[in-house]
Amino acid sequence: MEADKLFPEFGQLDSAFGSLLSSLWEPFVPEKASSHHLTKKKTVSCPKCGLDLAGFQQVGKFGCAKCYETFKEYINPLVRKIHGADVHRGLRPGRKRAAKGAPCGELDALRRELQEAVEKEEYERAAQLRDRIRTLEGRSGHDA
Amino acid sequence: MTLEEIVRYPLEWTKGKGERSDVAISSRIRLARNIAAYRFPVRCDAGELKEVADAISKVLTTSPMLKRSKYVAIDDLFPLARQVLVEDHLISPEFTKGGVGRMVALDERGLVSIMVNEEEHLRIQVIMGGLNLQEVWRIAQAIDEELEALGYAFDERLGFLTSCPTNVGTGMRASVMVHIPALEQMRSCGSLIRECNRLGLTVRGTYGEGTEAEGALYQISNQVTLGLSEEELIEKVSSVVAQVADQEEAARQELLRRQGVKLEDEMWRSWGALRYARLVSSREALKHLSLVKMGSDLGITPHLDAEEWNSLILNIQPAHVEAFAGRALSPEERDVARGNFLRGRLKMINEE
Repeated sequence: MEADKLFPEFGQLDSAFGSLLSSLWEPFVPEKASSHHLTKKKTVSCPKCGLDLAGFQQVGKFGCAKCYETFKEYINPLVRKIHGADVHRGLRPGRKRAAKGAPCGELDALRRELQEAVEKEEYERAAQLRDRIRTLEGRSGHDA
Repeated sequence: MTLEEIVRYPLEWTKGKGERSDVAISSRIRLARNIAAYRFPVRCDAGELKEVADAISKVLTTSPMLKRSKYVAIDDLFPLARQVLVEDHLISPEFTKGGVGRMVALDERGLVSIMVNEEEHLRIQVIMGGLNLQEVWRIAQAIDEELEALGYAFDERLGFLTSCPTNVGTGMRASVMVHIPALEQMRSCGSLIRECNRLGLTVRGTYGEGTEAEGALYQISNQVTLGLSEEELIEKVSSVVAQVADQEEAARQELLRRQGVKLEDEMWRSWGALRYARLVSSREALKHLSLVKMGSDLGITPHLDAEEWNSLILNIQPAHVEAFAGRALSPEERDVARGNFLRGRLKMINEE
């Protein structure tokens, strides 16, 4: 209670964050959704774990890796809302990471992101990505 | 592990090494990982949870870094021992419920803990003292590489796949616990929190999500796990914490300038309470310990080194007090035991 009095902002912030989260879940509609599409997709359940959309919305957790494929079109907008991004730029398993890894992986990811941006006609974002790719390519060129 | 072993388990971070240890108490990295071959814990049946726990056990025994660690089933621990682990930040409160396949691995140096079958199959955690995320990351990465043989759930586009979509991508949460009593007294925490949020960081009370700050202890961590590399996230948290530490130090001087003897009096009163009080609640203990640490850092109250102070804030927590008493205590008995403990420890410190 003491802390509440000292930091009224703290409590406000928590509640603001709470409502932010619920607004993330509510408009849980796929990209380019039509109402027909939506009703059809609602019955989809994951072939590996049996989770359906209603089940996910209840607990906010996916049931298995396959869910990410099953609910792909719902997941992408959700992930973008949470993280403000939808492409992984960090480490990848399966290689000696400390030695090589990150910069190359980052380039791959950026190139994919660029392609996507162009497809969606997000030209401003595409230009930023292209600049970043050029910078990175320049950097690895010097290193080598 | 016995209760005795758990309460005496060494925690590397308490040694108080690492940069900025006057403000930055500890640095922690948590990695969320899942095994591709199994459903996530929330959808696993008992048989699968057990298989996951066994698969991880096998990899641990061959891991050069972790083969000497203890691998313990939560169900095999007394409830009090589980609470001690929560207070040590080694397992989450939810994890104390136990259940099939819920295990914790604790390395012998007190650096690494791994929760098995919590929200994700693996929660790898590394904690060290001070502002030290780079080194913590180096260790976390080495352990991650050793466990990778399990076959992680990974997607080329989305990165490491997790049950909770807020962890997807790097699966990494880097956090630093900071002690910021002067910023708190100057009512600067609200704007600090807003500023951190703007930069994509979260500020929380001592015990994570939804808890309020006690003892002026806050955790600063990255909010998002996707779209930035691990190094970028770590850099972001580290640079903000370094700035917070600068601001806290400036705030302490400013507070001292503005309040002078009033502030000194407040710190000495806290020293007196800890040194002589007979009934001390954990909230009260944290409040006074926070003030005597600031007093010590400012050279006003007796010198408390980081290791001693870390040990005090850890051991005044309710489950620790009971574990040392060796039995369940009523709230009043606990406050008596805490008072005894604090008097005993502070008596040893040179007051000159």
